[in-house]
Amino acid sequence: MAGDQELKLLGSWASPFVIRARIALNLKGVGYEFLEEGLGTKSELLLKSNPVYKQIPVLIHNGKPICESMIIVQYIDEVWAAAGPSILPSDPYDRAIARFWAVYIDDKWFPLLWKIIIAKADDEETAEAAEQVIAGLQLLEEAFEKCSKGKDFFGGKSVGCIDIALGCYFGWVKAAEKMAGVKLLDKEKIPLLMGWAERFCSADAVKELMPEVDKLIEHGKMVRARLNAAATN
Amino acid sequence: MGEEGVKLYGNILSPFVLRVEWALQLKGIKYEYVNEDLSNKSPQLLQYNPVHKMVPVLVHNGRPIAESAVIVEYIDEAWSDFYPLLPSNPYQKATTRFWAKFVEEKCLHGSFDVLSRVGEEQLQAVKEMQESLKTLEGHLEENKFFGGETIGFVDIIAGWMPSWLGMIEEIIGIKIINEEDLPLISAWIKDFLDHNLVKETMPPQEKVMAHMRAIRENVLSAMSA
Repeated sequence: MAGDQELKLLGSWASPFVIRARIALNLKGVGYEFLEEGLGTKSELLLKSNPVYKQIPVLIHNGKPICESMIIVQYIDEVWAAAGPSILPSDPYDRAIARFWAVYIDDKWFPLLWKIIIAKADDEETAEAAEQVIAGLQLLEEAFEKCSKGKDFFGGKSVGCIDIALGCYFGWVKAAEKMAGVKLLDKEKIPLLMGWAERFCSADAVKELMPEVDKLIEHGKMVRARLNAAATN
Repeated sequence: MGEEGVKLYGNILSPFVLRVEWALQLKGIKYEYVNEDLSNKSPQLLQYNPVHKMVPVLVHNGRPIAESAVIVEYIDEAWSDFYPLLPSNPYQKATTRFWAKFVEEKCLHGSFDVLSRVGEEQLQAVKEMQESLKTLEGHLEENKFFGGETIGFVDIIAGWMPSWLGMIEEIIGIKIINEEDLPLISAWIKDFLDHNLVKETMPPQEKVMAHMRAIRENVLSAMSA
């Protein structure tokens, strides 16, 4: 299991999905080669390893590719189970709750945040999306209270599945606030989450991976410009 | 709460509820089925799934779980002694989860596009659906089911396709699955529909057809409004 293993991660510094995989690898103390994909380009290796979606992240373990960020995170948790803290809880019910929130975050909450990031100036839908993002954060605040049981993270004493699923987006939440001029993070409304976010971003496995918000804003503007150009063509 | 046993909150029109029933029955788990009127949801459903207020919800010893794919994985882990639904090897498990997600994202959403569009856009949606099915066919290889000789996780997640796609074809008057183009998927559909469990749990087709026609009507009238 441990020892001589070929481990590559195809990704990009800005992608929250890639950051998830890197946090998981850090939690397990596993070394890997990081291959950066440039914006707007896809390497031969990426196209070969993820022919279905042609997207990052892709973890390549001894030549075998694993795709989709939360699937990669679970894979890392299972293969290197003994190497570090459990990312998913051990009890099946707690695992189901963790998976439920991971699905909610990706399928319901993030698309709203994304809408704000790529919205053109004065887009009417932005205000509505912002309200929905805030409502989602409220739900997650309640979920945090239940899952953390008074401890530092959703996962308890250490960073777990929901922490990784949500935490990777926090830089982008701040970027979205500046890009669209909306307030999404309100200490009055989500005090527990705000405390959690600080602890998450400063956790050993996370701290060097979170990009600076200004760099994300720059990157976000480029992505937005490309999408809007493609839409008008 | 002191509630023992397994309860499933569902509705006969929901293919997502069926997924959970298949998982429970393959594992030989006894459960109580609670039918929900989706136009008049029970206080229990709203209490057990406050986030989405939808079926299916599985309640095991008083504790609720929502999201069909999450429920099926829970069933596999909580009753791990009999009939594994996912492989135990981490790489194969990751591959299984990948294809289940593909079915959800490409095939399920794709089928809704096919059902809810008209004209050129509908033809484009049909073409994309066929491409997705072709991609999925690659994962089937020469196996009878995605799970191998027996029904597994991907079969359960994709199990709405055999009957629902057939009904969509009838409603829109366009063939989506041609045997020459999708031979392995066609064979899988036949084998899946032939499986005793699927036959026993098949909801009344006229009711589901009427429901799908209503979905299409609603979307079309909203578009022209």
